[in-house]
Amino acid sequence: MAKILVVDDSPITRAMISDFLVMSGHQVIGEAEDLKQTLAAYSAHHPDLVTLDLSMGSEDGFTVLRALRASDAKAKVLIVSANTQLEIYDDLIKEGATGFITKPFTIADLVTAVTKGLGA
Amino acid sequence: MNLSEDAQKALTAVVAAGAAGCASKLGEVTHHEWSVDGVTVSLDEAGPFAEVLASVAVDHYGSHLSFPGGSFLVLCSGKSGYLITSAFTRDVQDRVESMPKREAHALGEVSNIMLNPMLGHLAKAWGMSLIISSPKSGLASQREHLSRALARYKEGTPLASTFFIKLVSRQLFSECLLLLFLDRSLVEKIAAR
Repeated sequence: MAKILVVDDSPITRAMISDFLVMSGHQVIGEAEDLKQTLAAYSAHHPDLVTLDLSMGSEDGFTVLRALRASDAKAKVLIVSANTQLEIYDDLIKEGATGFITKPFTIADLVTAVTKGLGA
Repeated sequence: MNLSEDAQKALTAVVAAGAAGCASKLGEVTHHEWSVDGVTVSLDEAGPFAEVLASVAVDHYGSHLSFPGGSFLVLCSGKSGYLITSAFTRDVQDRVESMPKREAHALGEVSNIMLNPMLGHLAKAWGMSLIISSPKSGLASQREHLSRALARYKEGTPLASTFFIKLVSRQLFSECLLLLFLDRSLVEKIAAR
């Protein structure tokens, strides 16, 4: 069981990811919808993995990813996005993301991506 | 904006192919089949909106998303919005049932998921890399949604073309109208390629 922080500006998607993670035996230590909440939750709980949306209201995923990696160079961040342009994911991996999963996804897709991300 | 007939046909073909991907993704998230029931384009800013603006002012769910050089507006009636939301959230219904603005949140996310493959298709065809904004969704009259979508064009950015794409699901008894607005700067860039 891993401690996971779910970051997405959509409450519906946060609910889906959190429920799928709990159903698959993980512990969701918190949910965040912007950069400020993400950094606060990360420093309070030190999760094993963060799931991070690419397009959020006030900041994009690149900004949040860079801020997380600046606060902890070992932070494991799994990008969760509907974007289908692979070159953008290449850039995110170069920025330190541990992997990505595209929306929509099944519980099995999410578990596979999380397991892979935790092992990275 | 003046576009040659060939350039207009090429642009429409790219958008129509993107719309097919959009319908397919919408089918995936709602677990029901969707199809494209027509793609029309207008190069005239004043003309194409008359029909929408003249229609009965029944509130619709509208999701606004933008990208560098253009924007999307997805319009759904209250009934379609409810049916799409219920289908999309079926696995987490207990948790989202009493969520305030459930439909608006769900339809924003559905729009995000279905428009990204379309934007990816357009970006690839145009040799670009594009990231879509987070959706802004709500319930309002079609006139209000359209005014909101066109506001940026009153601030000096000229509108070059508008695509009207109708998406229909006979299985889910639902339909959506997708509008794609392209700025003149982007269309000029595409036409020059």
